Amino acid sequence: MVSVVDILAAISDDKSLLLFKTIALSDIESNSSDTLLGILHFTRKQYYSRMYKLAKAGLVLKKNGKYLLTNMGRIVYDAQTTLEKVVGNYWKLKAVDALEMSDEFQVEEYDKIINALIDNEQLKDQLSKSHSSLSKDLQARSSSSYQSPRISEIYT
Amino acid sequence: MVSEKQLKSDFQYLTFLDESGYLPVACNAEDLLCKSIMNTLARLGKSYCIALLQNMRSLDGLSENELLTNYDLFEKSLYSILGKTGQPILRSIKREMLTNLVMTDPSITIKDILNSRLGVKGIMNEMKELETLEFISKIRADEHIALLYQNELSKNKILSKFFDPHTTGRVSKGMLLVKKPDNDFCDFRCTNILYEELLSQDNRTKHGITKILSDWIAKLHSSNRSEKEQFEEEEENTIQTTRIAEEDATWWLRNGFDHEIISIEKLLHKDTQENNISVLCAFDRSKISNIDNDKNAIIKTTIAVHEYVILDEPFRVYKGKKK
Repeated sequence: MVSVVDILAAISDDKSLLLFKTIALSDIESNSSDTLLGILHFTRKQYYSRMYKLAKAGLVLKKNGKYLLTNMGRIVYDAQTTLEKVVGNYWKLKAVDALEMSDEFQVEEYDKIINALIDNEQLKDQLSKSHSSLSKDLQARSSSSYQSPRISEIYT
Repeated sequence: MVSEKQLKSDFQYLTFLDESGYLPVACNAEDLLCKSIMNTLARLGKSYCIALLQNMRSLDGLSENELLTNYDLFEKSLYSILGKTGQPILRSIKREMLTNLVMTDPSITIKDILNSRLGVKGIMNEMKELETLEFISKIRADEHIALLYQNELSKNKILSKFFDPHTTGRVSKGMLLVKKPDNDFCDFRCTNILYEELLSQDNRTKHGITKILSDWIAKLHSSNRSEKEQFEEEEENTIQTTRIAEEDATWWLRNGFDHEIISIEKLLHKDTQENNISVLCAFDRSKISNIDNDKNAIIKTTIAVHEYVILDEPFRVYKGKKK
């Protein structure tokens, strides 16, 4: 069984990532060892040790002497392009962070919202209908290890 | 600020599209808004989130989908319940939406991000514009599209994308223009014709106009076919179909060709189907806001010929029933 650590380790240095991206982007006909070695100017040791890790992690496979991405490799490649986008937009994302719009509500903001919800008569009725889950929420709030529920939990 | 006149025009066209069976094409911006709202509300806790949403829905009898995909409705309902206390929720939604925009719109600048006047509605409009331009660049060969615009800039953006040389390559492009451009903006291979040039002195009848138009399209399309073979290998990744656009189809109505406009649109529609041509007809709706009922009926019939309709401000694509 391949782990996330194995996948990340297989593409964790510049040369491995370059090899992985070259296989993903090249025409399948040019993905033989000789051609890849010619394109990338790696030593044989650099090339084969990295290709072994990529194959062991289930990202590439060899077919008729040519290397190609597996289904999992294609998904990992897509995730890698998203990461590249994130890196490319680093300063813009930092600017969003700088807008004083914290991901989590400040404690006082959170309390104000909850108090306003509890003060609302109609909401109080609806909240009392789901009293048991509310009690659980209140208990959880008092615990320091409380984490907000996930979206999937709300809809289940 | 949206003017009353604009609201009336929007309502008029939305009602018409609804009556004619056009439905809005799925919009990624609305999905992202829904996710951002739910991510934010989830932080309040399960019971509070459910109770808040139920209460918001019961205020105006809205469905959850309406509430979570329309920011104006959501904001109004939230203010009704929480007043200013709800502002951190809206700020958090804006933050999520802004992050999504940064990841999809390469043109957004840090100055735009830091501009406090850019709200969730503005972010949604940017996303909708990107989606619409993407739709235009991927138009299939046999599609006939109407653009009902009220902002000249919207028309220019759509037409630029429609004729974008990066996606259309050397394919033949033609445009029916209201007047000759002051500068030669057509750096692409574009063979233009003026609306007036379709009206020969001795043949201003419906048949005369459609004949000249038909000949112009045939000439444009045949040159495309011969060149297509020549450049086929070179342009494997570009769209290989003739593209024709009308700058402002309301010209016909404004110049008294009420009955000709329907024949012309039907001719263009026939060409899209038979000759695999993409046609985009722009209609400047600000110029036909005060027309009588007869002309209104003509406009409706004319628009209904198109498979897709695009409205601007904000951009939205509507798909008609399959004809």
